[in-house]
Amino acid sequence: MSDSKTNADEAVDALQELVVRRYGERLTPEQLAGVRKGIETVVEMSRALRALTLTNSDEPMQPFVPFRAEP
Amino acid sequence: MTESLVFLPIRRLAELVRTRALSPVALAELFLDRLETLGPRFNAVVTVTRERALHEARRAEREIAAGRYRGPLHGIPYGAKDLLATAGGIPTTWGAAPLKHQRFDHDATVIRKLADAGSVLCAKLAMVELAGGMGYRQPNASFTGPGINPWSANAWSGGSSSGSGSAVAAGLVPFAIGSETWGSILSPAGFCGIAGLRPSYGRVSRHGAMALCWTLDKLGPLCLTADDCGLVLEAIAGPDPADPTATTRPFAYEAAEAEPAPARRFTLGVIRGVTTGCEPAVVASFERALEVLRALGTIEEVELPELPYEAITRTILQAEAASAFEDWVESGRIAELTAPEDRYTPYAREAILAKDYLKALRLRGVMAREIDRVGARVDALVGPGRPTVAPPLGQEFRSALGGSVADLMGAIGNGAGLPAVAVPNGFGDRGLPTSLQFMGRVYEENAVLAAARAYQRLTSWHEQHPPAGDA
Repeated sequence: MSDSKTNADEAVDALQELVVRRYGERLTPEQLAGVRKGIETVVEMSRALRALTLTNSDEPMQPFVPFRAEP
Repeated sequence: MTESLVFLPIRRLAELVRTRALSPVALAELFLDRLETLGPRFNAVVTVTRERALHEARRAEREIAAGRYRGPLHGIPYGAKDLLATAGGIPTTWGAAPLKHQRFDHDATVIRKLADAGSVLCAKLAMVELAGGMGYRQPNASFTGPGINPWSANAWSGGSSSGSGSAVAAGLVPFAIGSETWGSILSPAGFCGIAGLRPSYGRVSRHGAMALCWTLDKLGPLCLTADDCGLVLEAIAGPDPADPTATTRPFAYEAAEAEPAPARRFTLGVIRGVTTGCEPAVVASFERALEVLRALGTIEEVELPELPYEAITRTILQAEAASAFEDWVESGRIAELTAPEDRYTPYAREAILAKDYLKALRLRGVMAREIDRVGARVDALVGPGRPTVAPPLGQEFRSALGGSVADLMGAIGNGAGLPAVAVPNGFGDRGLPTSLQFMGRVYEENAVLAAARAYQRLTSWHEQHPPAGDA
């Protein structure tokens, strides 16, 4: 198992634990399994976003205004 | 008489109304009857607003008789997705069982603008609960039942503007208003074989509409033709003090009526790999559409830089939805929703970190600049409207929002706030419609509508209607 896979699993475990602590009492084991799949997707998205390097000047588009370069 | 009227485009209905060959009251009664008798067949309707409709229709009739014609929507019936606030005791349910009796004391801005244009509100139309923001993965996700496609009783109508799509396709209303955060106008339009316009972000005020994602939500029309979409957009576009994101850039529809055919040559772009993951029949319809479009201009392949487009838009959507519906999750109220997966999926969004949301917002800027650079070279980018035809009822579907299918143009278009119009371009598996989308630079609705109109002048897919539309 690669380090990145291990790190991802650890992140999923930790975030799942957060959900279990906050809301575990109201969720069935089947629902918690569904939540875990969702968290795996979140961690996957996070890795895709973090793989990109931005410069310090790349600001969030917030408040969002659709971009259009004027001639 | 009835059949010839219910599938007439707005422009032709308007001419009959303007010349007083057709009474707005008779027209409203025709569509009200269809909504009441056929609406349940498609799970398309939440509330038929008969009283309000007849009041508005009688007013239109009086005004037109007095020579005070307001324009092409005067006296034309329509339906509104049930996330748009309506006054007068009419429920606004957001498609959610716990909100069956929710009422507002005001009209959403888009409803008010349509009233100002003289339109006649005939129905509040069914939708996926909370506009699909809880992560539904199968059609049965509304207290009104799964949206049923007029082309097949065992196919979904699409979502989350389910009733808006099926009602227009079945001839229950001449046009409808829907909303799109990611796919909620283009999906029902494509699955039901009609036209759907997703305007630029900020083109239409969202005041009075349920908020799912503040920086992604858009309101737009679903109609029989692209031309009709332009007519409706002109009525609903514009600034609004109640919605600071509504742009002050003016929009005037460059109408089709003055266009000689062929009016102009288009430069169209196809994003490399845009058909990846599409069903073979969808690809075949798209390739046939490209052959038609070559008669209208040039088509070039365009390449985009490698960016995690879907992760960008999906992270923004899920993070904002988690905040918008925080009270539903914290209180456990989501357990009252219809779709089983909607009762637990939102908990996973606790895992989205602020740092990652902000990274997505920063990458959104990169994405917006890159797509604008490409968009500046073409009149429109074209691609399949949907990667599949409408899925069967009772079956889990592949979803871009859920990450189980690619939707590059949807991710970019919604993430960057770009306009797109979907029109029918053939039929695929199980005899269900396929669709073609034209996506433009921000605020270039006229460009995408012109290209879609030109395509529709050369094809007749939009003139085919489902047998289920017969009364």
